Amino acid sequence: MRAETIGSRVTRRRCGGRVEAVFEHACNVALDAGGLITVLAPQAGNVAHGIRLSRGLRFEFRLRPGMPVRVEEDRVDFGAGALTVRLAGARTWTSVLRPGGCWKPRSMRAAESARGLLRREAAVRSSEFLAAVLRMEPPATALAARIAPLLAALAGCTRARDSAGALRQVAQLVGLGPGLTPAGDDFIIGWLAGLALRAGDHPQRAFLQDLCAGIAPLGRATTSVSRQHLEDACALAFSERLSDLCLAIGDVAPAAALESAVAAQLQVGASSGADAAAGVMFALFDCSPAQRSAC
Amino acid sequence: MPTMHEVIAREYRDSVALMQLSAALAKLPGIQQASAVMATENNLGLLGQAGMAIGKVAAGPNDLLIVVQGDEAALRPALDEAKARLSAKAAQPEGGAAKAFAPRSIAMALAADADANLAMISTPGEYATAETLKALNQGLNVMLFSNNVSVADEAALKRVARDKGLIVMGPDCGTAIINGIPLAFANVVKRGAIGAVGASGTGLQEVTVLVDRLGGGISQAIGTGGHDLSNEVGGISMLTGLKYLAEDPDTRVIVLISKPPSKGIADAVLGAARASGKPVVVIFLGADAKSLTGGNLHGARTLEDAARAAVALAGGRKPEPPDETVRIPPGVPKLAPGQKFIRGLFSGGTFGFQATLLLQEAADVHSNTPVGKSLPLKDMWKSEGHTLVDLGDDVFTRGRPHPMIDYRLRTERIVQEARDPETAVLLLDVVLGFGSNADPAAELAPALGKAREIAETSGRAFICVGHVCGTDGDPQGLGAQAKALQSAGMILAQSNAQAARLARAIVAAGGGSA
Repeated sequence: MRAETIGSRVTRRRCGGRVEAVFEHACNVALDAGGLITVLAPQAGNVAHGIRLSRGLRFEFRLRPGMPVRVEEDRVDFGAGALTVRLAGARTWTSVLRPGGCWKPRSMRAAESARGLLRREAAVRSSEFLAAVLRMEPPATALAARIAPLLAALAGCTRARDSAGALRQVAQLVGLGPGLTPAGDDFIIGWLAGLALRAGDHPQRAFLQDLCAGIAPLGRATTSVSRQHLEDACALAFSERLSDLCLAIGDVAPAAALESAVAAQLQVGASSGADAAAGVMFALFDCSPAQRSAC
Repeated sequence: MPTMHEVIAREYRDSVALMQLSAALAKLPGIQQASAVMATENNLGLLGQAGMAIGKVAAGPNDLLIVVQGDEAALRPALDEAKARLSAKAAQPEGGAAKAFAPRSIAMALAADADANLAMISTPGEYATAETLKALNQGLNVMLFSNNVSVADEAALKRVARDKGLIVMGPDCGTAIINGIPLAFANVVKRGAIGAVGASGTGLQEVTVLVDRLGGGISQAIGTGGHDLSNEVGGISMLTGLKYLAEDPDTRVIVLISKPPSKGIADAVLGAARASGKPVVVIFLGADAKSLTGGNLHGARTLEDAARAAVALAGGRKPEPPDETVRIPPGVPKLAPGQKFIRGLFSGGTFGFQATLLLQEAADVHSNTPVGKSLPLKDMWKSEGHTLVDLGDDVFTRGRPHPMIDYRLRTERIVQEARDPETAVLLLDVVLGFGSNADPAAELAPALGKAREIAETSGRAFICVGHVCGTDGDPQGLGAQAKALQSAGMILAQSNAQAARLARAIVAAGGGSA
């Protein structure tokens, strides 16, 4: 089996590991040295810690949790001949979202369009974060009640560029909510992507840098898979679909392209895509420095 | 309140699976609350906030935590149920003893059962062509449930099948009943002398269900996929299916179901039907029924007409002219002055299609899948005038199950329509059978209740007309579903056509007499 792309944060050093979880279109490998590699089917979007295959594979037919893995410079071997992924010839995939790189005055109109598209989806998506950010009637759950004051405080701290205050709120979101990548983590990642999209001046970039430095250690409080996603985000290495959504907003993409980017993002995971999209909207609409207020 | 928990180390499930598990546990007798989450510190805090604090627990972020709260005696059985549900799901990929016998290829499956003569293929579209070819090369007929197969691939596959004396049902074939066995979305119907070939899944379901209800039975129901009668494919599967039924001694009457094909394809299909030597009921939805009638061919205008004609012919009787009389049942309220329009929300594409054809005879109709004179919706998320929406359209199913399974989108839209002061009648379909939602009435009832409350508190009438495509033999049970839907305020018609006509009559009359 040949790899098509290798994420920019995938280790290229020799090391061992084991299969941690197997899904229909992906497989997570926990490395002995720490960290995670995700092997992805061709239809999945790239991630910075991912190796995407050139052809489809039914992962559950070939791999089992606990199976030993060996990472070499030119290949990844699973079990005793269960699967070999050849890395030679694969291109390196790097997130193309750069802080403030594509934000324009007109981008806010595209953000409003994206928000309109998400509003349609929110009614049928099980995302407390999306409902909260879009000011829709939240489900009567403990999670919805928990996040309402946290998001209000986080928005205030972000507008005031109070990184210490923001990190206090973020610490209460890490690992919060259902799922393999808890909803709170997905939201934080989307929020960082949204802040990066608008980080056009030095103070905004410095604030973002402080946040990333502070959030990365908080990953200990969540699942190992989610921790890897958080670490990628803190290195501003966002997933392909989240980057595409942000770029579609920043570049004021045509309506069909924006709709396609929103739809692709919403298809990530069970609710991860919606939670991260909520984070982007939160950063763009609730955390604007123009609405500066005390934390 | 007594609380009990269980930690399952290094167990991973996505959020939807965990929420479904939580919801299922909360419905167990004696259980007040239940939660299944990864055991992160913040989730432990969240449990405390929800009144389910469990104190210090030996678990980390990579462990699954299940907490139940309720009657003391119900807690342990609930946790056992949770573990059983998790292990039942895990058993599929893990396999255990069964793994050695689970075929991983069509050849392996054939080696295990050499008598098999049909493969059902339900892979993502990109792999479906290759798998279908493999099955055909092994001498198997194919029911191809997968979608996203190109028309060019479909034509090529069907030519291969034809050359081998086989049939490919599909792609995107949702319904078939072969030798009495319902496949995919299909209903439990009596066996009998009527064979059907259809390019429409819900069209086949409606005809087979109505045949059953009228006292007839089905020998075979063969789906062809919606593109079979396109010029590129040339109706290969419909012609093959027709040939099978013509040769089948158990089939005395044949029903053909499709949207109108091009003239060349129609001529080929009708020519084969004439040559079958058996009575053939033809419904090309939207085509003039009289133009399809002659010799052994009996044209039908609606799916119900087709079922009635087939049952009559199978009983040795001449089909009677369709009775299109509509009677508004007693108890239907008067519409308020602004209530003018029908809002149809369909899970079956053919139900929306047929209803559009019937309603557009009297008024302009908007649809997301316009047909004939009907008009395209400017925004498919918002109704305008008379609007009929096919919720099975790709736009609505992206990233979520088909609306015959997942009712959330429709229940939201029901409430949305109820808020519109111009809505006069809600028009719905409810599809039972294998593959469909396990309890549609339970899904719809709360939304219909809320819609009624919204309409009535605003001084408007609440009127919902629907029909149930199902039988008493279906897992959901027609009788129980019909009773529950009527209790929820739905006026039930016997068929999709009758429901559409009743909705039209209610609007024309300004409501009922009560």
